[in-house]
Amino acid sequence: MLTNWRVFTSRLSSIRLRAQDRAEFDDEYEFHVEMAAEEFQRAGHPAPEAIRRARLELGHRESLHAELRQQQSLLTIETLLDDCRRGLLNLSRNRASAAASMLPVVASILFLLFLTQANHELRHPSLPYPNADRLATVWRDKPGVLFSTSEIDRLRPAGSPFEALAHYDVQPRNYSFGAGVRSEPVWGLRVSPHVFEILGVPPWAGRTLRGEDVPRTVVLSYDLWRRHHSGTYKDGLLFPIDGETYTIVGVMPPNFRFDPPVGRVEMWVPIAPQNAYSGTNYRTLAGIGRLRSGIDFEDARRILPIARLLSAGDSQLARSLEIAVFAAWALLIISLMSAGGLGYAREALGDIQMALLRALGASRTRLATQLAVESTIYVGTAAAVGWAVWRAFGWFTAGQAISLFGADSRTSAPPFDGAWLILLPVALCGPLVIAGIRVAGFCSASGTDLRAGLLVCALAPAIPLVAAAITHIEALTRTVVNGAAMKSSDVYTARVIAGKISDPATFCESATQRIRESPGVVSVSAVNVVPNRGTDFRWSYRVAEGNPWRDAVFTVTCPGLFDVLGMQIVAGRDFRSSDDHSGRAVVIVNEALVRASGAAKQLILAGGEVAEVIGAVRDTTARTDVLEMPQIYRPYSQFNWRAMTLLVRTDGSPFSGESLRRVVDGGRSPQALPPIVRMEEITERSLRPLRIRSVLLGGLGALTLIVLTTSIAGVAQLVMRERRREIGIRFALGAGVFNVAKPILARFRFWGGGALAAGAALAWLASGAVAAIGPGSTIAATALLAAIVVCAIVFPAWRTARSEIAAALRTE
Amino acid sequence: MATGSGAQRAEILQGTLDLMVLQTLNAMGPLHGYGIARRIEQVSGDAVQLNQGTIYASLLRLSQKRWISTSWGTSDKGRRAKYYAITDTGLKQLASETESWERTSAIIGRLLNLPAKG
Repeated sequence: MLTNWRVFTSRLSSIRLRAQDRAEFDDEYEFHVEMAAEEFQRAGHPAPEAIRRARLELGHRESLHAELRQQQSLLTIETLLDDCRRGLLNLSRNRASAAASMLPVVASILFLLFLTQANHELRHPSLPYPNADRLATVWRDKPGVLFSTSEIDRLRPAGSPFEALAHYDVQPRNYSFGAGVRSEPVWGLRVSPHVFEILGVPPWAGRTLRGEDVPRTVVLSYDLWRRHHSGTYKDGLLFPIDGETYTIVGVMPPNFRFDPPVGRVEMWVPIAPQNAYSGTNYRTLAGIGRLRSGIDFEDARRILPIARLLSAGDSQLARSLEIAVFAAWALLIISLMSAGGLGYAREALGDIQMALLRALGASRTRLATQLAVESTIYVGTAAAVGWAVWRAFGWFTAGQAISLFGADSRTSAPPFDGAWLILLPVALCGPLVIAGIRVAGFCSASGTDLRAGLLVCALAPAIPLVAAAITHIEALTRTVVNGAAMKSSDVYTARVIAGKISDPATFCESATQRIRESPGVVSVSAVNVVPNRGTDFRWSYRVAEGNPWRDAVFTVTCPGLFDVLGMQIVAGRDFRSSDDHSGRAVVIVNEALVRASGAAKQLILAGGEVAEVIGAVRDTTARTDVLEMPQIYRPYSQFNWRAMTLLVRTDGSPFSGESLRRVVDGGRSPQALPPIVRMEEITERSLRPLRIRSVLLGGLGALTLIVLTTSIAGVAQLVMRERRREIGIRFALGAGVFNVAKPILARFRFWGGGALAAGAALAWLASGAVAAIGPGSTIAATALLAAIVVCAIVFPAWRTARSEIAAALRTE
Repeated sequence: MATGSGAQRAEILQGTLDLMVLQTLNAMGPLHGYGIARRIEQVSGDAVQLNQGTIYASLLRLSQKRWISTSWGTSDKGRRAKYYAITDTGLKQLASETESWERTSAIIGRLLNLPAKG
C-alpha cells in the first residue's frame, strides 16, 4: 500500500518535472553510450562502429524514453490534462460560435442569481418586529385558506412548532374615530389577545390587549394618538368610537404596523369569540405564530400550512419572482441543450478533430470523456463569467434589486450566500447535458433521424416557458384593455363614513347630489370597495333552488357607478333611487356571471334573499384575479354599508380636498378630511404584480425563442451540408424551397413532434404546479415553436440551395 | 559487455532484474546505470543476456518505490553521471526478496531432484 502510494506520488511529481527528466535522461543516455563505446573501442572496434554498437545495444533513445515515460506517467491525469488543453484550444479557435452558444447560458445563470437573490431579500421581511423571520401566517389546510370562527380551534394542533399562536380578522373594519368636528374614518383590525406579544413589540404607553378585555377596548397607533391627543398618556381614557365609548388601554410605538392586507390600520380591538358569522363558512380569520427556537421554518411548513409574514404586495411579488426563477431554470436547460446541439453541429460541420480521433480508432468512451471535459470547461467558463458579472453588480443586488420590482429594499436582509446552490448543480449537471447530446449525436448508430431528434429536444422545456409568457402577456393585455374600458382617468376616490354624511337611507342622494354641484364635477357615485383596489367582498349566489352555490364579487353601490367609471350597461338599466328597501331586492350582474350561470331573471343570494336581475354590465376590471369572476352589484339603499368610497369624475380639473370638505361638511356634520386618491393610482398598483410577472416571463420567453431559433438553424445547416449537392441539383431543376426542405423537415418530423408533445404535457403539469398556463397559450406556444422549427429549416435550405446551384451544375 | 554467443546466454527471469540491481547496489555501493549493467553481466560470466535499456526501466521502477536513491556525481573519467544507491527501505526489501528467492529456489531444487519413477 505504502509502496503504491510512493509510486503514485513519484508519477505525480514527474508530470511537473517532465522537461527536467527528459534532459537528465538524455545526459544519462549519452554517458551510457560513451562508456559502452569505449569498451567496444578497447575490443578493437573503430570509434564510429563502437558508438553504433553501443547505441544498438542500449536501444533507441526515443523508444527508451517513451518506455520510461509510460512508466512514469499517470494516464488518467495526463489524458485529462490533454483533454483540457484541447478543450481550451477549441474554445479559443471557435471563439465566435462558442460565445454565441455560451451567451444564453451566461444570461440564464445571471438571471437565476439575480432573481434568487431578489427573492431571498424579499423573503426576509423588513417588518418592524424583532426576529421577523421567525413569524409566520398560519392557514387552515392550505396556503391562502382562512379559518371561520368555528374552525379557529384547529389552529392549535398537538406538537405545535410555535411558541404561541394568535389570530386576527384579515378584513379590517372602518370605524368613525372621535366625535364632532374631529371625527375621522379609521381602519381597525380585530385581533385575538397575545398578537402583540407574538409580534414582540411592547406598547409605547399603557398595555396591549388581554384575554379578559371587554369588546370596547382599543389599542391605538402612535400617529392616531398624537392626532387626537397632545398631552401625556393616561390609563383608561375613554373615547368615542362609532358613537360608543371605548377604553384606550395602550398606544403602540411610532412606526409600528400590523395591517395586512388592506389600508393602514391604526387601531386594534379584541376579536369577539363569536360573531355574526359564527357557525357559517364565512372565513376571514388567519393565524399568526412565532416559531419555537430550534424549529426551522421549512420543518414547521411540513406540519402546518404556513407562510412567512409578508405584506400583501411583497407576497404577490415573491410569487412572481418564484415563477421567474422556475422560468430561468427552464431557460438554462434550453440553453445547455442548444449549446450541445450547436457544439455537435459545429464539430460535424467543420471540426475534423473528432473525425480524426474516430478514424484513429478512439473508443466511444474516449470520445465521451473528451467531450465531457470540453463541456465542463465550457459550462465552467459560463458559470464563472455569470458569477463574476453578478458579483460585480453585488452592490446593486444587495439593496436595490427588489426595489426595481416595487418593493422596499431590504437593508436588514442577511447576505445572500446561496449562489453555490445554483452554480454547483450547473457545474455538475450542465456538462452532462451538453456532452450527452454531443456524444449521442456522434455515437448514435441510429442515423441522422435520432440525432436530429436529440438536437430538437430543447423544444420540450421551451413550451411551458413560452406558454406561460403568452398566458401572462395575454392576461396583462386583456386586463389593461379592460382597465382602459373603465376610463379611470379624472376619477377621484375618497373614503367616508356614510353615517357621518347623512342618514344612511338618503346617503346616495344627499352626498352625490351635493358633490355634483361642485365646479368641474361631471358625475358622482359611491361603492363599498373601490374596483381594482386588490381586495373585494365575496357573496354566494345560485340561480335556482338545488343549483350549486357560486362565489361572486359583491359590490354595494349608489346609482351612477357605471356612468362614473364608463362601464357599459349591455342589458337592462342602472340602479335608481327608487330601488330601496320598500321595493323588490334588485341586483345588476356582469357578463361573466351571465356566462357562468345563464341569463337568469333572478338570483338567490346567500342568506336566502331573492333578488331580481335588472341589468348586466360589461366585464370591466383591472384585476386579473377577478377577470373571469361573476360580479353582483347591489344598491346601497337596499344593503347598508358603513364605510363608502365616493367616486368623483371631473371634467379634467383636479378634485381638491377642500372641495370635498365643503361638500361633505355641508355645514351640518363636519368631519376630518379623508385622503383623496386618484383612481389611476389604484389601478396601477393593482396591475403591478401582473406587469412584473409578464415582463419577466416575456423577457425569458423571448430569449428562449432566440436561442432555439439559432440552435435549430445551426443544426439544420448541418443536415443540409450533408446533402447540399442533392439540394443544389433539385433547386436547379426547378424544385421549390419547401420541396427542397421537405426531406430535412421529415428528419425532424418524428422527434420534433415528440418534443412538442412532451412540451405540451410539461406545460399542463406546470400549469398546476408553478404558474397559470392556459390551454390556448399552450397550443399557441406549440404552434409558434413548430413554426420556428420550419422557418429555421426552410430559410437555411433556401440559402444552401442557392449557393450550391452553380457547384451542382458544374459537377453534373 | 555482451560479447559471447547469444544462443548460449540465458534470458533474465521476469521479475528478477530488480533483485539483481538491488543486490548489485548493495554489494558495490553507489553506481551509474552503465556500471550496474556491466556488473550484472560480469557477475553472470556474460551468461545473462541483458538488454541494457531495460536496466533503466528497472532503475526507474526501484526509484519510484524509494528502494534506491539517485544523485548526480562525477565518474572516474571526470564525466557527469547519475549514481544510484540502495536505501534503507531497499535493504529491507532486498532481504525480503532474497529470502523469498532462496525459498523458491530450494523448492524448485527439491522438485527437480526428485528421482524419476521406475
